[in-house]
Amino acid sequence: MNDILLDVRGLKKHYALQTGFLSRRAVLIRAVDDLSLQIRRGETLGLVGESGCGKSSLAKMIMRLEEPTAGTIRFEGVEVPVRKGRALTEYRQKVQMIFQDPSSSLNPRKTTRGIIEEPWLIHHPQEKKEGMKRLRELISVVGLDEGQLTRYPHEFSGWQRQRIGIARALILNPRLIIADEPVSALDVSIRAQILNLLKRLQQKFALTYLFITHDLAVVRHMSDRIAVMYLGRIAELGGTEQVCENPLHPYTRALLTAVPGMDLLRKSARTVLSGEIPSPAAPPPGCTFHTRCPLRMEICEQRKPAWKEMDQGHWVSCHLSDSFSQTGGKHQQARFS
Amino acid sequence: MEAILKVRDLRTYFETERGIVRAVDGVDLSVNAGRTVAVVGESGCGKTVLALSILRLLPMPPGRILDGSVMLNGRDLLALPIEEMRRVRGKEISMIFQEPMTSLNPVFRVGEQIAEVFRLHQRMNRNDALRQSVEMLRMVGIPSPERRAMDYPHQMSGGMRQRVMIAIALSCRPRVMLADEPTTALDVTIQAQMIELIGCLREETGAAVVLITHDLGVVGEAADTMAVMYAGQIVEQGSVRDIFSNPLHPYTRGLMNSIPRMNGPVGKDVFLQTIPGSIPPLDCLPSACRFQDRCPDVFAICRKEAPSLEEIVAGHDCRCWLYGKNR
Repeated sequence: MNDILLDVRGLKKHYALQTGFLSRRAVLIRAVDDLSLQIRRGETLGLVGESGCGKSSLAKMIMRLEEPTAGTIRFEGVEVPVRKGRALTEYRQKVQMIFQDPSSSLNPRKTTRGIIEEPWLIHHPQEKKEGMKRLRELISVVGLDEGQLTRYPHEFSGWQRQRIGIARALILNPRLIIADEPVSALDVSIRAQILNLLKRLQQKFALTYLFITHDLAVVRHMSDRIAVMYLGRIAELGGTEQVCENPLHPYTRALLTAVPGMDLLRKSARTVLSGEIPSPAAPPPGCTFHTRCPLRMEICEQRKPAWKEMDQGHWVSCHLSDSFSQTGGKHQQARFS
Repeated sequence: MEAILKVRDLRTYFETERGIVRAVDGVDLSVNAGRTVAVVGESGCGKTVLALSILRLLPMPPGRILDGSVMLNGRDLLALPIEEMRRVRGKEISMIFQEPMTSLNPVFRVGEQIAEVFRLHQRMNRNDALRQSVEMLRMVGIPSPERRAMDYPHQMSGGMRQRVMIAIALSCRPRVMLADEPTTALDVTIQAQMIELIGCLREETGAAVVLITHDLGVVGEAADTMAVMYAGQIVEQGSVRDIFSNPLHPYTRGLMNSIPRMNGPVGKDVFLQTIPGSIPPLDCLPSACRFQDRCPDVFAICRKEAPSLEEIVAGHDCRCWLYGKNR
């Protein structure tokens, strides 16, 4: 299909971790385990999950900062090259990243101008003038002024730094932006400014976003589709409304009710999960969520649930899905209440 | 009911090379037994300095408490000799810090760290104290507490460490517990567990909780009353219910509108409301109203004279020229 920008299939990332001091033992960490995902041109795909679920590993593999253990990543129908070379250089221009912590992702020894134009100078060393033009345009779009170009990162506050990080990501005119928790480190009143900016930029430059966050309200506000990740796999995937209004996976449901709400009436309806996310070094057998699932059945401890489409474009990986195939999740809703 | 902790007109300033930083500038706050008051504000509004001033944990200099009183059970903590204060701290009033990894000692087992509180404040012997610390771990919901008491902090997950922090803070059954962003560093599902835990323990021990946070969602879940801080001052104060349903101060309104909501509209052309500009640095505050440069409702007097905190509706105070006596 033509409108799929990024196509990830069967992606795995296993890290071998040496443990033990005298007797060396290798433990395999399955950070990402058999993950498939498509991102459509022009959409925002929200990726939600708790720390340690593998969302950053996935981002790094898409950026080709890490090599996958298995699986393929295709961008615009072409497989992303593994080896360094012209093809990879070209790919990197089209995929850029916005990081969580703007203070540690900007070089403290460079001026704002140096930081923003560096990617351009690397990829287009002959076209300095063109780069300067683009830089001027960008800084006004992200809300900085030209007088700030000669300043260093420490002279800015956190939110201005995040604007610099955004300008740097945009200078090469990328197609796909991977935003890894771009507003988590920012203050509430600033967060809204940056979220609005990201939305406006998407319209202006026809960008596609992979928006990674742990904040469900933010992801709901930003995304067209949402993927919920748990322990290296995707538990549920669907349109924003499908996932938020009719969550099928018990984990999604728990995440949704765990969001501390300003709606005082909603308080009572929460499912508090017991326990913590298990170690990816020893994932539970069967369904990896069964250790924390309030609706656990016998089969969950034995067999991995299949990845099934329950509604148009609404996918889930849960044994419970067998029992509500026709009712569109109502059965499960009933069991929760 | 008589308030258990009563802060009156507290002023904490820092003397720096660039001038005087008025981090806490005339704050009044009180909380009853078994209740939670939330202090809400963004970074740099003075909420952490407020907590540290109450506990007298601020480094002085450069900090200085110029004025005010902190009454705990009828005693002014600010007037106590340091030795006496040390006995109060941890016993009658305790604190849960934001980052459990940096506030636990990495070279001691967690059981010993909890036991230390018992040995210091209740003069227990080592064995009794250790036994008691296992009980505390059980109380905060740590599975197999006998075994976990022998763990070092790095062997525990973030949620577990925060539970240990809470166990330490609660071990002497303090009357008041200060919690500085206790859930910020944690995942959503663990965050929900912590909010529940603090709520249950508050009910069990009857302690009063001062919850310091930037997250209005957490306030809605956990607090009875709240105080919104901006640039060192409280700008709005009242019950959570009143403020959420009828926020008065333009800053509170701005904050509440700038947060994406789970029941809000979605779509490519849905934008959030924003508060323009950013928080002013505390060493060069605008004269008169401190919110004037970011306020959508600013008018002439806001730039001339500072408004005071006035009761607008019963039990609901606001510092703004738009309302009441200030008008």
